[in-house]
Amino acid sequence: MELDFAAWADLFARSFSLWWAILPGIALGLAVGVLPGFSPQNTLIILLPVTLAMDTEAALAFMISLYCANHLSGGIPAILVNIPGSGGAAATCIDGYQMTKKGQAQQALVLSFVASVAGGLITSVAVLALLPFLSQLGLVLRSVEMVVIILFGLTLIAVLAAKDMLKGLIGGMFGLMLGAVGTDAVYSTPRATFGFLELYDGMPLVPVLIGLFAVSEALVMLEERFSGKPAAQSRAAQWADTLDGLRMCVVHWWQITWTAFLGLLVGVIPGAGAYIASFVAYQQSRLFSKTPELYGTGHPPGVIAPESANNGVTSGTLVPTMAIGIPGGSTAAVMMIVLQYQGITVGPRLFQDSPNIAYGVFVMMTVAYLLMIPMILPLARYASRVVTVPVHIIVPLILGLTVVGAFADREYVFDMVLALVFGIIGYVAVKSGYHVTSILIGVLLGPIFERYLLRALRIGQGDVMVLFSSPIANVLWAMLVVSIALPLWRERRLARRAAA
Amino acid sequence: MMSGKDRIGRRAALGLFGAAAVAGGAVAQSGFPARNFRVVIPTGQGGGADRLARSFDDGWSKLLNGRQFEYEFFPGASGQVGYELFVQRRDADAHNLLFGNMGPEMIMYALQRPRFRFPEDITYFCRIDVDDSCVFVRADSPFRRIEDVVAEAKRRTLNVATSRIPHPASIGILALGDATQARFNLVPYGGGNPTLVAVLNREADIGVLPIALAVQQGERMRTLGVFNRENILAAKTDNAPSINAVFGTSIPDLYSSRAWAIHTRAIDRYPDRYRVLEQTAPRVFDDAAFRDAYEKAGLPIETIKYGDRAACTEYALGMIELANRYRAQLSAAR
Amino acid sequence: MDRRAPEGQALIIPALAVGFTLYYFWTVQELAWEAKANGIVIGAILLVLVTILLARIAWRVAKGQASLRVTLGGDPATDRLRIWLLAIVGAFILALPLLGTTIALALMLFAGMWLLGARHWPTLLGVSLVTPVLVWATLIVGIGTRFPLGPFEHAMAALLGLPGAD
Repeated sequence: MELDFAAWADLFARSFSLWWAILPGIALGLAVGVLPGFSPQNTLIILLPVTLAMDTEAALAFMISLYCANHLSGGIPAILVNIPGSGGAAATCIDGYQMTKKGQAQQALVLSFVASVAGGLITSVAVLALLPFLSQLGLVLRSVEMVVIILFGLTLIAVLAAKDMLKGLIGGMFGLMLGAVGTDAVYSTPRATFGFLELYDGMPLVPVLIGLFAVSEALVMLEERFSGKPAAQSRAAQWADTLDGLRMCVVHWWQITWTAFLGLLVGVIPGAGAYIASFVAYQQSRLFSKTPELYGTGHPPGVIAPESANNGVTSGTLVPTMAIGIPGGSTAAVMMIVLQYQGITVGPRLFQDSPNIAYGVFVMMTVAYLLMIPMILPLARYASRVVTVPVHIIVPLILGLTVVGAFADREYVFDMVLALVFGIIGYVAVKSGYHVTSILIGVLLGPIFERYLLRALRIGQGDVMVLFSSPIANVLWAMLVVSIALPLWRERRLARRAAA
Repeated sequence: MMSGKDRIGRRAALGLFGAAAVAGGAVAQSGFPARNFRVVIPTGQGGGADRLARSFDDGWSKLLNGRQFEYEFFPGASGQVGYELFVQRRDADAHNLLFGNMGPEMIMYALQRPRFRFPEDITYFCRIDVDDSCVFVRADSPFRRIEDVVAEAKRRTLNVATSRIPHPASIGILALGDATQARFNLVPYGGGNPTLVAVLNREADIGVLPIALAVQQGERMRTLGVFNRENILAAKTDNAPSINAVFGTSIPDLYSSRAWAIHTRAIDRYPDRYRVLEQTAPRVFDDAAFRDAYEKAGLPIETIKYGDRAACTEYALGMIELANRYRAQLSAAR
Repeated sequence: MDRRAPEGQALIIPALAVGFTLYYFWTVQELAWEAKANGIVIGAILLVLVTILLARIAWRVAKGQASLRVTLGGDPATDRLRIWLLAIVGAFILALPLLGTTIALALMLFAGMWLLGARHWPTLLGVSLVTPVLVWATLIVGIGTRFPLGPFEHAMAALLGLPGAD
């Protein structure tokens, strides 16, 4: 069904009139996103009694703003203290924290905010225009294609390992091995769980994330206590830095746009998550960069790519829910419960039956991103002051709050202990030249890689050639080969030129 | 390790709601329930069990002092995590319940030998639905009838999307293959929703699931046959036949049944509390609001069918026996 | 003074990885191929990579460029602080069921700051009291996460008449 201009204007007007639901949603989403351990779907489940009591549109507006804001604020602790607020922000640490170390915390925050908001805005508008096409996308990309898409993310292990390939690969393989813990995808038989029920679902992401990044970083920070030098980062925040961040965003507008679209596409695929999008975006961004060697040293596009992509995901994730009636992820599933409770059946007919809801959710998303802008730019200025807190206060605070966060996700004390164990592993890894991000990528992507690979192999009835049986997958394979070969070729050329 | 005592549920937001609703309470005897119920669901949020429990609990809570139901989801290991956690770490005080899908979860119990015993540790006491396992295809599939499927599966192995390998619907298609020399290759998708996607996007040739999910998809899916002696949803599935009737086979009736469960110890320790639950639950089935909520979710009302403790236990034990019979195909142990 | 670069620490992560891989292999030995294929392939690659690393280190040691001394680069005083800090977090987790989240977190923060040399009383008390109360108000009361409860939470629930205080 096509909507005319008046109908669109009406939808936007209605969404803006829901500001009273959107603003608290944004505020709560930002707060929850900063703390690792608090996922949007858990928050939404806890708040179900409230949202079910609200009227449908207000409830949707609230949930959508919470969800989008949550994806935005995961980057804040990643940039400031090297602790991603969620798996989707893990790639942001790589360059974001380096910028903070160079004294550019505020610029990095502005970059991340603007990239997130712009990415979310561009893609939510794009969804409105491309909905018929996008709703088919989830049906075209199947297990085989997913295997290749996840491999794009896994090649980041090798990219990060540029300094010492052998150690980098060992870290990544260790992560993949840890990711293979838990019940297998076919028969549900537990593997390598040490007898712990808590590991049957696989290595839990949040405690691993908190351990590898937060606890280990807190231990590393202690060095500054004795070095006594106030790091460059403890410079006072200035509005000039905010403007500088905005300038960088304008310079990199194209980067924001295409990584956002990449996030959108990944988001549309049912079951794929923000972390696939952000790792693949980072990897692709480095690949097409003219200065790949700057990535990992505090390079602005290294912050833009993952942040813009993980907000692009927010727009995509609701497409399968609305268009085919099948939720693509757990946050979407919770939203679907609310809709069904109100007697609204999602699926293709929704666009005829209640266009104000079907198109409305994407309009609400656009409006939520617009309303976020005035809320977050001042936030960049004040949040960046976190880095000026002295070590003897911030270290206990990080440890206390993140270990508490490790509990909150699944409500197991076991997860707190696990965070501590991974904290020690992470510290040893950092100090002996292994990249914690490589280990994390393995833990994150390993299980879904295994799931899709086994599914594809079963579909092929044991024939490995099934992996090369689809035209789309073969194109993706070719792109994968190029993206591995191109950097090698480019490095060789640079080396030759340097030698000459 | 956390102790049960410290983790008694008290969700403030929900509590406020509960307090507001107490006014309309009906059951006052023995002061039970004294607080909100805490429910373990051993499958994912937004899945079939979640939706069914939520459409049921409004009506039930009216009969239980207005106490609310708070859900926790443990979808790991085909339900094993949820069950073990419920039995081992939730107080057996009748305020802790489990809402599960008896079929697949009893198959899991038989195959994985988890750390609890049925029915010594856990008792199902209120079945909500009887949801027949069915074979379905997308609407534009070349397979028009179940006979087409079997004929093709004799020529080549067909890929069958299923939610899990240890599932009644999977047993059904394996049994059909055995009986007709047709070859089916089960591909597990880990849930009803992804299974539907796999059939829609043509990754799998056919799908097997509980029939309510297939019917909910409306005209996009076509049900070809059910693994039960009669198809109670004949009108909504274009008269899809009973598979046994078509092939003259004797595959046991296969269906999913979702049910409320309680610690068996809680029944022994607090018989009065259990009686309140056991007596109020069947009355929800007369509540128009429950049926409305169920139909609003697009689910077929015909599948709603109350079953008491004896019916549940009989079904669950039957599933365990069936799983043992098909152990070789269903389990990873070699 | 030993001028060879210490390389022993580079073996800690591989040792953990190899140990875990072998345990993994042991747990899946009797399972169907689908349940172990992924783990065995990755594990095999890992073992090969570690073998290469061992060879590389052995070669450097043999050439006198490296030693097997283990160091993580920290000075002994800071390392002692790290171990104490981890012990405090461990004690916090152990104390949780007894003291409840709020009190345990307050003690942990205070002990952590004291250990790292904070002696400014207003800061010490402010941070270690305000943070746990905020955690209690938002996470426990506000969104109702089921953290272990203790005397403080029970007293507050009784005092303020919060629902569910039993």
